[in-house]
Amino acid sequence: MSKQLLIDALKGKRTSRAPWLPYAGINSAFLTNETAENYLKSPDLIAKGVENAAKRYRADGIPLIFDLSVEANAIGCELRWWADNVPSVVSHPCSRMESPGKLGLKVPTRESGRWPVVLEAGRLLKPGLDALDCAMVGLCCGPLTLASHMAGVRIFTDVYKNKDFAREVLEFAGEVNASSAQYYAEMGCEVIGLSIP
Amino acid sequence: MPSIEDILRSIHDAVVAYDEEGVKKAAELYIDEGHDALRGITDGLAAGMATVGDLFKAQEYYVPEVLLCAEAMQAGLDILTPHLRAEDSKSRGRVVLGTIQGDIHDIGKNIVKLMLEISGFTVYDLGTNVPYQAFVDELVRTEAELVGISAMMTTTMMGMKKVIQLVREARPEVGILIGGAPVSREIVKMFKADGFALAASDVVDEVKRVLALHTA
Repeated sequence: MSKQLLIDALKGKRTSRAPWLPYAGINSAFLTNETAENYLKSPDLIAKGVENAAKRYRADGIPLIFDLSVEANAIGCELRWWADNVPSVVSHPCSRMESPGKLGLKVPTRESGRWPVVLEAGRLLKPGLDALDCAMVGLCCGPLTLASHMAGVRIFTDVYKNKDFAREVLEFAGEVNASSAQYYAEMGCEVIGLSIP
Repeated sequence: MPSIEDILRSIHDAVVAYDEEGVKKAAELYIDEGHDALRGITDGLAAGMATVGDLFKAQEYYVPEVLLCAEAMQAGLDILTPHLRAEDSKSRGRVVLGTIQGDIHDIGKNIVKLMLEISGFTVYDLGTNVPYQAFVDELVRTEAELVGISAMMTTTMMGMKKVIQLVREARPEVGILIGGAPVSREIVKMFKADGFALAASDVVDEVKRVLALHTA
């Protein structure tokens, strides 16, 4: 296991082998016999599950969580929880073409939504991953995905039909992404990614 | 004065170009010229969506383009449908459709619904996160001849096996189609469904094939 191998590869350097970065995600809950809901709501279970997965898979890097609903939930979107999957975002505040500004949506703070759980999980997990020489990866929900959480599927046609509205939603989503990246950096993540578009 | 073929071509091309205003203009001209609404739907709108399906399969169009084309097609449908003759409005068959329990993705399902409706099928759309038994209950209530089950995720796709089992027990004569990103021909075989469509534009032919199997 080698976090430097992963970092070098991401920087475009030739490495002695391909680094291994399993997106274990909710699989980490399954490996520790936890339901997805219990797992994602508990910093202790997340830390235990990810460290277990990193050891089992002999990972060079591993995501802290792979859950694209965190940012949407922190903005105020409602979630539907599942036993064997990450939550689904089921409310879309901008779906009637009201912009984030008009709705008074705010960029999440460290106290918003499930960020306290994620931040605490990162704090608990980091020493264990360091001992395994495994990079901790922070995954932010990408701006278009977050925009789709905020506006619903209409965003995919709004980028063509209602460009100004789509731009406002995407710009706000970008600001939220920036805050997520900052929080993951503060946690000590060696790698931060956008997932997915 | 443009020929009927020219106007149908205009409707087709406007759908493919996701030109909603173009579709409306061509559809209105088509009706003003006194042409048959059903032919406008099948040879103009549906033909356009078939081309869109080909572009999607060729990876020249992606989901956003397909959605835009579907919206343009809907604009045309809103103009042509009120002019259908009573005998043309008769249903070609009844289909229960839904996204399976645990899954809330519905873009593909909604396009399938649109394709089936413009082809003359009556669709009973159960929406998303549909409990397994609800598919069966709706089949019994509507006496539909076919059920379509959609899933976007491999985890929720596994529930299709249960729905198929329940449907076979309750109404063995019903045709079963499954669809969605994780579904393949191998999955259809493994789950013992009757068929699936890779693209929404193929679904009408697949529905006709499966219905023919069950009435043969």
